[in-house]
Amino acid sequence: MAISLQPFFEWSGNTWLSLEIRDSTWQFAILEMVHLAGLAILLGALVVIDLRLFGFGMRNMRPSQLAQELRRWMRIGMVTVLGSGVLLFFGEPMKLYGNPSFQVKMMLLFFALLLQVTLFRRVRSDSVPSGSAMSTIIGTVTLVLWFGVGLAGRAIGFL
Amino acid sequence: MSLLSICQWIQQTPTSTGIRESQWVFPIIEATHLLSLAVSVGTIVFVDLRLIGAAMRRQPVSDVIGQLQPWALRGFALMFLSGGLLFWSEPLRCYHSVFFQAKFVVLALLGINALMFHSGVYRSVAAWDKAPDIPLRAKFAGYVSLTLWTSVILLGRGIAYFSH
Repeated sequence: MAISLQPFFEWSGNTWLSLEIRDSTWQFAILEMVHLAGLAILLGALVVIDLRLFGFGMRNMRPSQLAQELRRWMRIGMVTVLGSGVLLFFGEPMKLYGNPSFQVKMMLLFFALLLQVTLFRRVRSDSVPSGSAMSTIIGTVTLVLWFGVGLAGRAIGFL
Repeated sequence: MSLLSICQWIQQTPTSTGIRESQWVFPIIEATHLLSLAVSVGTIVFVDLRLIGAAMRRQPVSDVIGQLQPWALRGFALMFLSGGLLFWSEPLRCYHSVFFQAKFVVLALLGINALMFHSGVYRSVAAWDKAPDIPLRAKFAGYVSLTLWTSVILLGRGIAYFSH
């Protein structure tokens, strides 16, 4: 039996929160701007760490040291993006239901978050030597996934 | 020749019309513009966070700047290139957009801030390079940069939102 998510999307669209966001001229726009600013922090931290994994950027620090130092900012970026993202979702759930870009984005997001709590965690614990094949793989995959999330996110408005 | 007539002229060039009306080129340029944000503003944010003492406090300031700034500049090159093409594709919309005008004023202020920092307090970096807490003037440059770059992002999003 196929499980449809449609009732969930419909329910979301009828909540007080959804009405509140939809009825306001500014809330959706402001949320989208917060979403973008959070993206700059999250992807910025990711780029700085991934550059180091490729052997560029902050070369005077060990990758683990850098990842630990920037962990706080990755979290701040992540909480900002996810928080504003959930609110944006409530702002137009029925528009997102069936939107191919949104579906791709959620899939990429799932894998990006999965890697974040598995492979990426290893970067912090010094178990990934600098310049190893493993560090290049982790850097490439996380960059591709998170940039993919960003691209698919932009595409929601186009498709 | 006024700014408006220049924009009108650009608007009717074949390249401008071509980008504007293409199904894929405009979205691709816009996506490039958006994602180079991570490389440019994303890396410069961490230089600023070091300046205000909120990240990598034990790293020498000159280290953070020397190693991240080249990447920020590469990102900015991509940003200006894609941004230039976006402008080229809809110059009249930009001309009439308050957000576009404000964005350029803020970008100019950012240039001045960076220039003042590098030609001013940064010259004496050797004296405070390893201090977690750096001179107020250098810290101030970090706060100014963080605030202004945030405004650039918000104003940039505003261009697409509020002008028709």
